[in-house]
Amino acid sequence: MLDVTLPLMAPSILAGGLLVFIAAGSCFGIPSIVGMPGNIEVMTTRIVTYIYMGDDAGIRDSTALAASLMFIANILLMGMTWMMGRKDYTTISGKSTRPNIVELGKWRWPAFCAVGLYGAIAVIIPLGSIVLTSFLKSMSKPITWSNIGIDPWIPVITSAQYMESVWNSVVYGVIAATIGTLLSLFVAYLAVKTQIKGRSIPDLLVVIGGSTPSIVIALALIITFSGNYGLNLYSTVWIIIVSYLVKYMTMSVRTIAAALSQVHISLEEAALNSGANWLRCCKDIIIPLIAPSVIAGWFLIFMPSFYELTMSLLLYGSDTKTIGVLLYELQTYADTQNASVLSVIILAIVLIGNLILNKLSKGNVGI
Amino acid sequence: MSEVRIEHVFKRFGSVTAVNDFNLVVKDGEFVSILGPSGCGKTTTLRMIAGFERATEGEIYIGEQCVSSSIKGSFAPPEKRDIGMVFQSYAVWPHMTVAENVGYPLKIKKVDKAERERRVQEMLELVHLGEYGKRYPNQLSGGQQQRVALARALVAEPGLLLLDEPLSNLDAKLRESMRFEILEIQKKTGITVVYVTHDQGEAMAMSDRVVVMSMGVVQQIGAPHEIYTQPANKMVADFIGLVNFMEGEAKGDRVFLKGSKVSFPNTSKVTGEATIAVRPENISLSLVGGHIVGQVTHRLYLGDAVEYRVKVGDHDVRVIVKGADLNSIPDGAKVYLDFDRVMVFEK
Ligand SMILES: Nc1ncnc2c1ncn2[C@@H]1O[C@H](COP(=O)(O)OP(=O)(O)O)[C@@H](O)[C@H]1O
Ligand SMILES: [Mg+2]
Repeated sequence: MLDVTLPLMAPSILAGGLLVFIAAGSCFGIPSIVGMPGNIEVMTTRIVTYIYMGDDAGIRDSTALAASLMFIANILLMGMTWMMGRKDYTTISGKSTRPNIVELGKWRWPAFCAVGLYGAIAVIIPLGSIVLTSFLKSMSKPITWSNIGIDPWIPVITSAQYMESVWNSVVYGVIAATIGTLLSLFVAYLAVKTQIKGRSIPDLLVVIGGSTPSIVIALALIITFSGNYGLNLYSTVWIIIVSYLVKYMTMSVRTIAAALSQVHISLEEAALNSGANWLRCCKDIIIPLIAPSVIAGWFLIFMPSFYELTMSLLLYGSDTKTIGVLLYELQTYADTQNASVLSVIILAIVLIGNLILNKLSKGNVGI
Repeated sequence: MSEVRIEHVFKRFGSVTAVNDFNLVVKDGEFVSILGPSGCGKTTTLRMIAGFERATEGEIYIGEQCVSSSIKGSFAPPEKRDIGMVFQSYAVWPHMTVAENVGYPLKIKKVDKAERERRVQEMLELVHLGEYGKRYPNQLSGGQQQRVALARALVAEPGLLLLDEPLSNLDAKLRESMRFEILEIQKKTGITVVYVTHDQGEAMAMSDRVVVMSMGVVQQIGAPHEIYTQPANKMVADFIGLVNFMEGEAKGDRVFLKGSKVSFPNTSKVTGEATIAVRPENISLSLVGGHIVGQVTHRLYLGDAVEYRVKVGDHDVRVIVKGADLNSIPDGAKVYLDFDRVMVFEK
């Protein structure tokens, strides 16, 4: 264990740690909601504060911070890729291997308790309490059966303003996912199936976009699309959708590229040999074979876009408020009750999406 | 059915010349194999005929159609060539049933459904898969999948069938029986076949003629027995069957084993330093007398024969004696050899 397994796993463990570090460092929503009451600031929240100041100095300072954040994130990611790249990590192999099951013996129960405790503290208790809160008739009264009902849901569900945000998020998610999936198909096909020079450049750009912290993307889009360079998308749907595309296309490109690379070239050649032209070959052979991954790719863009906060918060306009932004506002106004109802709605939609995703990818992909 | 003409075809990948001045006419209804070691350019040649690679230079004709010409700059894409192809990796579509796989070329040709079903069933009977139409490929064995691929390649009645090492993924027993099935189908349909393999046994057993390739260059084209008995050069002699090479010297119509007075008829035009080649089964071995003296160093039991390694001067000579008793000649024994059908090549 100490001599073989751990050294073998070391790169993966380190990479996992780095990924968590990058994700945590780029995260805005959680530190801002949890930290603001205590005036704890991290890089991302400071960037937002600067942007909200609205003047030139604010934009300048936030850009400087954002650039350094992006620099740190990308350096770490490159380091990680280099480390993983030194060994041949094959992710797709034709043969399936059975994972080695370790007998824990007398450690079984302690291990079970530790994992269970973590699960309870990190996932079950917070989520459970959100669900519970959403059904509490009165927040100030104790939790009893008489205090539980669907009453808190009624104002939320009937509120035109709330429902508009939910609807906005669904629509933006669907648009981003649909455009993103088509783009991903194109990028993946280019990288995997063609011999064109520079075929993997779009793929690389997508990866860079995905590994850039959300807050940096939002800031970059504000600077680019607020009219300075001819195109003014500020306060429109499209700037939000572009931000989702930049951030979330990586996963769908990866998923579709993996599926495409498993379609052996001879399967296509057999179709051509049967008299089918290229289009017919795509329609009859390639598309049916990669369909599950394409649909999975769609959900991989839809779901994070649906509950996205950081970029939406910086990019929304009066007509384009999303569910994430609404939730953030409710939380900052200390409207816990309505916030938890909305959270449960988000949770439900994301859980359903994840179930579909899991079914399609046979348990390999999920968010 | 189609004649295939390949004239002065070259294929270069960057600085690598995969196929170098390939010339071949495959007659209508003929079965021709392209044989050679891995990487010698067999697949590339076949893919140029099929239209998956474009020849850097030269012309290819299938029947009356010029499908590829570097001079005219013309090139017919694969779907516009009247060809059926069987791939090494089967290339059976996993999301279609056996019948859908086989019927696909007809569907593309817009053959109506009833006619299509009839012809698919006919093809499936031909490859002995009559009962399997409704199954999916993952429910079939490798041999059965390859027969589906064969049926799919033949169903549209193309003029030419190309096969790229179709049996190399099958186990030895199945390979033998599939050889006969392919031959039987060719006899029934009369189709022209170009068959790529690195297995000389396969090429010899199945073909009307064999094209031996090495490093992109055609070494010899001929009927199997010609290739075996009169190989054009050392490479062909070495690649087809077993052979012993020894240094020699050619003088006029005799060739002498180096460092000895033993000589054989020189059937070639080689003079001076030469290579003498003799197949193990053309050597007779005796304990009493013969032209060449040697000493047995190893014996290998082959079941129907015994292979001896005999040291003759500096050479290690392989001798195969049919029906020999392993224990009749011990290691270290002094033996006499006689060579028959000696071949002479440039050194
Ligand atoms: N697409 C390609 N790009 C570059 N080199 C290739 C390509 N296809 C084949 N080659 C080279 O051409 C030579 C012949 O290959 P191939 O025709 O596949 O040989 P064979 O089928 O006889 O094993 C090899 O050296 C191979 O590396
Ligand atoms: Mg090959």
